[in-house]
Amino acid sequence: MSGRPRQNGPAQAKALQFKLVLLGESAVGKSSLVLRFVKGQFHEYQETTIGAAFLTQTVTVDGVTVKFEIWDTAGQERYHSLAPMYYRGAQAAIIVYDITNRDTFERAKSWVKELDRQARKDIVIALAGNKFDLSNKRMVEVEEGSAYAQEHNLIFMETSAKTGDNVSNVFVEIAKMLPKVEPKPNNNGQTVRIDDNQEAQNGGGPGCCSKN
Amino acid sequence: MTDNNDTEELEELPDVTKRFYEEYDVELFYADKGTSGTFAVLERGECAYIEWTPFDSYDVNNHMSFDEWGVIAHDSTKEPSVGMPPLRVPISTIDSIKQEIGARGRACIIISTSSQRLPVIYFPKLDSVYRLVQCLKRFLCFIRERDTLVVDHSRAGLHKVMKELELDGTATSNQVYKKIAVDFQDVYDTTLSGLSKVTNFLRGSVVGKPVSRPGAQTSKTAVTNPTPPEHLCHRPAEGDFELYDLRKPLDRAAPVARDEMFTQALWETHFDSEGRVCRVKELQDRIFGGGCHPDLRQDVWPFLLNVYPWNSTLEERAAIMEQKKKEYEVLKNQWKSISPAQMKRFQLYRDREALVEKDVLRTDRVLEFYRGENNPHIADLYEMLMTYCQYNFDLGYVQGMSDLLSPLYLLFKDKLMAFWAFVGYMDMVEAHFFLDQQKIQGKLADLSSLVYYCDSELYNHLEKEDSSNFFFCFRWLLINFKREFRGDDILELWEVIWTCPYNTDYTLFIATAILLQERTPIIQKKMCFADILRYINDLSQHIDLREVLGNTESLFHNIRSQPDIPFNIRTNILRIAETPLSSLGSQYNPNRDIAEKTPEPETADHLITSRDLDESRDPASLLVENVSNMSLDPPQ
Repeated sequence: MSGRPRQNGPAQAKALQFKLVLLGESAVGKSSLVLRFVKGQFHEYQETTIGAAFLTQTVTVDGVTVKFEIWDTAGQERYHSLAPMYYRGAQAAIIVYDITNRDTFERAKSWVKELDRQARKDIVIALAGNKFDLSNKRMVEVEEGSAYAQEHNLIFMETSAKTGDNVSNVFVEIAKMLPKVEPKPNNNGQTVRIDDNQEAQNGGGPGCCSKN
Repeated sequence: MTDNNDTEELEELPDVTKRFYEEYDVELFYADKGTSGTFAVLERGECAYIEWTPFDSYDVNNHMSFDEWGVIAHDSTKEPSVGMPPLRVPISTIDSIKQEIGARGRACIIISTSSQRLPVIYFPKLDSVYRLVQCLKRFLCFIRERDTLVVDHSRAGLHKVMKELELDGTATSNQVYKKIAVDFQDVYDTTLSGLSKVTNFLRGSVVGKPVSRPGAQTSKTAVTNPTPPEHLCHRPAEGDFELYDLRKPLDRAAPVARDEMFTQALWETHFDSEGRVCRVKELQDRIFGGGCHPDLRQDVWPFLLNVYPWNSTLEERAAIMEQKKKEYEVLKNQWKSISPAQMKRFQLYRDREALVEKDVLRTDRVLEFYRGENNPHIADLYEMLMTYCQYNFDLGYVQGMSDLLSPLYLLFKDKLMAFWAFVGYMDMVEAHFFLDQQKIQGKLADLSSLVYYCDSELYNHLEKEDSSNFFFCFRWLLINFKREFRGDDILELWEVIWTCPYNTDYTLFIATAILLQERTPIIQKKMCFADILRYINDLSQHIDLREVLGNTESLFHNIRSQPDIPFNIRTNILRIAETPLSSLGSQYNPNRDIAEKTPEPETADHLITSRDLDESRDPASLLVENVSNMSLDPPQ
């Protein structure tokens, strides 16, 4: 938080907003990653996502507040045709696979290809090898995921929605990569940090995104 | 211009060279009779026309060939003897276009030409009129007088100006048309982006105003001419045609009170001496009105889900179950006997198995029945779903199906019965899970029509927020609200859907009723698509079932009793055979005992729906296209 007086009175600088979409095979942990990131919770038996879900969460990176508008999608191939609705226009994507399931890694690769073809050219993509807590059952080596990510210029991390390992880090790394053009800098040219906790608590309620 | 000028156009009309505008489900009214058809602005050779072709009531082939169409001088006080003939009017003869308040304020216009006044034309949506006006501006120069656009014949429309400029030169007509086509695309794009300009006002303030019925009007000046209150009136730019949505929302009728539950004592009165269920209609109506007593569901649901025919005897049912038991074992053994070696060469099987396994592990695990590590009921769900994949091999397993099976198994606690009840349920809804998504998209389109009809303010908000694809209701419709209600509520909701006595898809009315309940926060908080999706998802388990069912039933009757139900709702949703509109109102009968359910396949066969006419012209498929092209970015 800036110690200098704000000249704009109580008005806070608007957070930068970014549309982020989660993609990946069914049951790799997309909804669990979002739930961990947004609400700090984990449900062992998180129910399937039907249609899509929408949540928001903010992170502060280098003094800049970034608000993620997160679109969580259904993973089953059957519902693939709906995905473009959600990734179109997205500035960021997290493509998730399950490190204990090789097929899901292959599926992740095909998502990368699809986004290369169909999504915004400047989209920031992170590849997340989830279920790191089950690394004793690992079927995809970390080096393999890492090499693929490097080759395709993706952020890469192994995560665990269950333990929380690396979950916020993925979002923070994405936030770092996103353009930081201030929509309206305040008079000091400084951004004001929005209290993360308060935002997190509000984040789950209806009707509180993007219209504030 | 004189009649002679009009009739000159009759001779040797060239083929259509260009289509500028097309709208389906546009109704023309004579007196009290409306006929639906396609309305188009098109060009034949050098001359542009507005043309309207009825869907089905007029057999063009039998009456006159396409080229024999002429300008038919309609006298709006006379009713045509044979259906409604097609209509064609040269655009150059149009003198004025007046926006009119139709019955209950539907968007409609009256076009007057140099020699006649055309019948009142009802458009499905306000933006259809807006697009039409935008299109006609290319041909005509309008001066706005209150709610009427008067053609200034001394000035040419843009189209004519362009043509004169280009055709004098050396450009081939092809080049010119290309240029015009590009230009029209621009207009179309501008129009779409400008839809938010469509003003939505006067809602409610026209309530109670005498609605002038087409045909009753004798002169232009006699037409009801509402002048909007000054403070509500948008001041359009000169020559601009600001459209007013004059429709008032469907009046909210009082919710229908739920009846008493259907009880064991009543159930026992429905059997004959050999155990057949009799007075089935009465029984279904009771369940529809009040739901089953929870203890009774195990007995009643096998009939509702077609495990047993209603007229089977006790003895026959035992035999049926015996047979089904054998069949289940056969199906189960088919997948159970696949060897590991076989499996290696059987990708489809492996994929299905993986999907089923992943999903049963996370289906309703919060319920006591499915809770805990190594819960045997999870393995049972797996077995039943894998067996269903054998039963319905073409469909296999699709996400959402475990949500439909879980409550059935929880109810019956018997794999065999749960499986066959699931089969019966899937027979009703399997199209929801088809790869092409046509069924669900069609339902979303129907839901869109209903909300538009019932509450255009809500609809306009959704449209403004790129949400009129109704995708936020996808989950509701895919699995019949399974995620929205819990416990006995979802069971009661389902049995209401299964026993609905009306020949309609009741889930559409349930969805509409919930949306109408939630309209105020959606509109007042100016929710965008993302907000709405989250809001709707968060309604899960917070919806009062009784309130919804009461509102749904009253909404259904309310819509049925309206005199001006649009063609699409009438035909595709309510599935009412074509009848004069004025007589529809009298069919309303709040008493559910009226037997009006007709077997669906027959009805579907003889009714001509807009979908039958031309796949590509179907408004629903247009919406589908819309959905797939739509960017759901939250508005900045």
